[in-house]
Amino acid sequence: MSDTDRSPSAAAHEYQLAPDESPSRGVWSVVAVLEDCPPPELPSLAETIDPEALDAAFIGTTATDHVSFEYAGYTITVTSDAVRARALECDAG
Amino acid sequence: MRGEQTNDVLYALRDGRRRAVLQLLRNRTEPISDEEVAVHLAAADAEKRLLDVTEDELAEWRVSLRQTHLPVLEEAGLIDWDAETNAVAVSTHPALQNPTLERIVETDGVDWDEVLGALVHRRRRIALSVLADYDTALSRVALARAVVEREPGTETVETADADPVEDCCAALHHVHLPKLAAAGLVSYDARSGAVSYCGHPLIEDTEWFDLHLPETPRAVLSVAEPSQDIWRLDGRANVIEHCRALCEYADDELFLLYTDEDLIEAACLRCLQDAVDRGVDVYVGTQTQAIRDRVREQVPGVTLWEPQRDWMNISPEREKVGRLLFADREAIMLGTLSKHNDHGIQNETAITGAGEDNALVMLVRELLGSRLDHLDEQSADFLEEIPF
Repeated sequence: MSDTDRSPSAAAHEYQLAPDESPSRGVWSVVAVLEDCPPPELPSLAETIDPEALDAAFIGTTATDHVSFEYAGYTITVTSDAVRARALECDAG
Repeated sequence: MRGEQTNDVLYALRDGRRRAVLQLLRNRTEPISDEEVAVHLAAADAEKRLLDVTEDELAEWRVSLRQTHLPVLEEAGLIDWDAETNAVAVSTHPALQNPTLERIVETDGVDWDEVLGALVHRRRRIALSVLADYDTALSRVALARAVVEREPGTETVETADADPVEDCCAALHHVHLPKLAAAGLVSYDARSGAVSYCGHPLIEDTEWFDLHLPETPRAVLSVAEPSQDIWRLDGRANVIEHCRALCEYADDELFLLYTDEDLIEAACLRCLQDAVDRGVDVYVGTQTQAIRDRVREQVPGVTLWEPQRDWMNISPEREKVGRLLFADREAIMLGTLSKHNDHGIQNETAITGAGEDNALVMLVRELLGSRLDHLDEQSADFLEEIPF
C-alpha cells in the first residue's frame, strides 16, 4: 500500500486486500486510515451492510464482481482484491 | 461464508427448514427417501394433510432440499444421505445427543435462526462466554483482550501492522457485537464501547457458549485418537444415574467426597444404605457439617471423615468439583459444578473412568494410596497426609 493521502477530499483511495484479508476488514481499515482514527471509533459497518454477507459475496465460483455502498461519508467500492473509498463531498461537487 | 471459525453443526441448524428435517428424521427408525422428506415438510409448511400438498408446493421443497439443505446437513455430518437410493437418515453425530441442541431441534415455534446465526462464529461464542462470566459491562477493548487470550491460535490477517487485540476489537465493533446484539444476546453501546451480557431465556447454560458441543469430528493431530478411557456425562440427572450405578457396582469399598449439600439426594443415601447392607465399606468425606449430620443420621453404617483442605472450593468463580466417587479403587467419577447462572441453576458434568489400568483411576489411587485404609482411624497424622 502506498503512502496515505490524509486529505479527506482526495478523489479516491484504493486499498489492496492482503491474500487472506476479508473485504469487510478492508473497508474499515481504509476508512480508518482516511479518517485518521482507530477502526472501532468509526460507525459500525454492520449499520450499513452485513459484513459477513459482504465477505460471502466474494467467495466461491459465483463470486460477485463488485459491491458499492455509502459508509461513513465515503462511497465504497469493493472488488475481490481491493477496496476503493471516495469521499462523498467530491461527488457532491 | 464458512471459514475455519464457523461451526458446521450450528451453521446447519441455523436454518429452520434444516431443523425441521432433523426433527422429522429423528422420529424415524428407518431411512426415508428425500422425496418423502419433501412431502412431509411441504405439508407441514402449508399446514395441510400429506395428500393435499400441491405439485408446486412440493417442487419448491424438493429443489431446496436437494440443492441446499440436505447437502449442508450431510456436510455437517448430521445426516447420512445415500446418493444412489436417495435414502436419508439421522447420523450418529454426538451433537445430536447434546441436550441443548436437542432442545433447539425439538422446540417448535421459537425462532432460533438469529440466535444460532450469532453463535455460529467461534469468536462470538468466545465473546459470549467471556461476557457471561462478568456481572457488569465490559469495555470493547477489555473484551477483545480476553477473547484473544481464549482463542486457540488467534487468526490475524497477515498485514505488517496487525495487532491481534486491535484487530479483534475492530472486528467485534464492526461485525460480531452487532450480530450478538441483534440476536438479543448482548447489549452493546457502540459509542461508549460498553458491552454486557443479556443471555437468552432458552439457553440457560452459559457454558454452552464455550462449545463442549462437538464440532464435526476431525482429527486434531493425525496421530491422535479419541479416548475410550474417559467418558463425559452432561447434566445432573445423568450424573446421579451414574453415581447410583457406581454405588451398585462396588463390592468392597466405596469412597465419596461431597462439597455441596444439594448433591446428597435421598436416592443417593438409599444407595449408600444398600451398599452398607451388602457389606461394602463406605467412606463419605465432606467439610460440610450439614452433610455429615445427614449421613450420620440416615446411614449410620457409613464412616465419616473430614478432609483437611477445602481444595474443592479453590475457585468459586469458576467450575468446582462437586463430588468424587471411587468404587473398589477401580471405577471413578469426578463431577464438576458450573457457577450459578442467572436462574440460580448450576449445571453438573462429570468425567468417569473404569478399570485398574485407567489413567484417571490410577492417578487417584496413587494420590490416595494406602491412606484409604486408615480413614476410619481418624488419626490426625493420617488425615494430614491425605492430599484431599
